[in-house]
Parts: sequence; C-alpha cells; structure tokens
Amino acid sequence: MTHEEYLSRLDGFTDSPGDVKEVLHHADSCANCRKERRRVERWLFRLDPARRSIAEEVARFAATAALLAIVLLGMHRLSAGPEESEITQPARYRIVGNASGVVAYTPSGIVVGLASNSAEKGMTR
Amino acid sequence: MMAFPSDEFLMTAFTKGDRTSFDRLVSRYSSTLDAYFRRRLPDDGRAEELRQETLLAIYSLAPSYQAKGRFRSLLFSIAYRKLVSARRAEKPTEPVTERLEAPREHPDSLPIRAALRDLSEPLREALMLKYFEGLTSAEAGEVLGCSAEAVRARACRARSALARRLDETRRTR
Repeated sequence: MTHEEYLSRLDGFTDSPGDVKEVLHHADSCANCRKERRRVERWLFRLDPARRSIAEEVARFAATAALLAIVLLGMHRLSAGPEESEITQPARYRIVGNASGVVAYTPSGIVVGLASNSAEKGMTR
Repeated sequence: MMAFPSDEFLMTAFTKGDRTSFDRLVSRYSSTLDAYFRRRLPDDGRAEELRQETLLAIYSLAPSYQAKGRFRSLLFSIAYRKLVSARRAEKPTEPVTERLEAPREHPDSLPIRAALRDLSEPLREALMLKYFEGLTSAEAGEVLGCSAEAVRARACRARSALARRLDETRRTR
C-alpha cells in the first residue's frame, strides 16, 4: 500500500484486527509516515510545553552536573585547610650586605650574618 | 521501605492500612490528573472536581484492590470513565482540547488545537494518552478497552489525519 492509498483509506479504517495489521504494517515501512510522525510530535510538543524534549533534559542534566562539580571542587579546596594551602617555602634570598646588620628579607624572616656562613645561623623572626 | 516504591507497592500497602502510602500516591498523581482533566475540559472547576472524584474512587476501591495490572492504567481508566460521564452530563460550551495550557503554548498552536479537536474521540484519546499523559500503548489500551496494537494503529491514523488537516489549513491560508 502506498502512502497515497493509505491516506485515501484513512477514514475507513477501523479497530478490526485486519485493519490494525494493515495500518501498522504500512506505518512501519513507510518513510512518509515516519516523517509525518516527527512533524506531528513537534506540533504536539508546542501544545504542551510543560513536556520537555530529550535534548532539553540532557542540557538540564549537564548543567546540574557542572554546577555540582563546581560546588564539590570548592568544598574540597576549603576542606583541604591551611596546612596544605600554605606550603612552607624554603628561604630564598640574596646576600646584599656585609657581616653586620640585616642582609636579607625572606619569607621566613630577616636573615642576618656573614655571607660565607649558613644563613640559618642568624635567622630571626 | 524502598526509596521510590512502585505505585502497585504503595497501593498494596494502603490496602493493608498504611495511609501514608495513599498520600504518596496522591502527591505523585495529583498534578498529572489535574493536567489530564484540564486538557480535556473547558471548566477548571469541573476538572478539579473530577480529579477529586477520581482519587476518591481509588480510595474507595482499596479493599478490593488486587495488584494484577498497572496502577497507572487503573487510574486513567477511572479518570477516563469520569470524563466520559461528565461529557455526557453536560454539553461543553467550549470545545474539548481548547485548553492545553493556552497561556504558555506556542503562538502557532491554534490550528494544531483545531485539528486535534476535529479528530474522532477514539483517535484523539489514543494520541493524547500517549503523548500528553505518557502512557504506553498497552496502558492506553487498558484505559480505552482495546489492544495495544489497536492503540498504536489509532495513533498512526490520528497522526496522519492531523497532518492532512494541518496541510489543508496551510494551503487555504
């Protein structure tokens, strides 16, 4: 049965097993019917916008997942605490003075002492 | 208890005296039933009444309930019978399907609603139960008293009739 033949008989079909079989057989094998189905589904969706399409559902799911990931990452960073975030830096300095007085300012404190000796010797905080 | 128990589980629990199970069923289906009647009736007040009547009918049949079929089919069967009785009792002033959440719908939906309204009752109901209420063909068949295959065939015919009608409308514009 062609699509035109099917359409010409559309008003005559009933729920009899023969008609049901014929309609379903045609609908399953007809490209026009498949196209028609997609069109009608779009139209019906317009009538009931409360129903979301699959694409919308996927987009909503992705947005929710991204938001959740951001929140979890933030919480993880916060729970890591200051001991992890404040990494102890080794004293990095350059000797600029002589043996007396302040010779360098470092993140660990003020370093005084001879340039040739270990800087740790005279470290004050 | 299960985190998301099935409708049938809740209904069975209700028949054994667990009233909270019925409350859960009501909260699960209240808005669905409301939408079902509002889509099909022009009068919001009547739709609300029929929703209540349907839930009351479910409540009343609890003593004789047997979890044989799907609860959704039972619920919509009762709702459909209520709807048919309501339509028989009063002639609607506004045609069926005139509503369909009109304030939020697409602006081009007027001819679609008109075409849907012109479908015969069996075809329209098969299409609406499947697309708007989300029933499977088997469930819709139980509601409409026909086989799942018949529902599928009705939905095919309804789609073709709808498409034909809308094409005609567009050609005559």
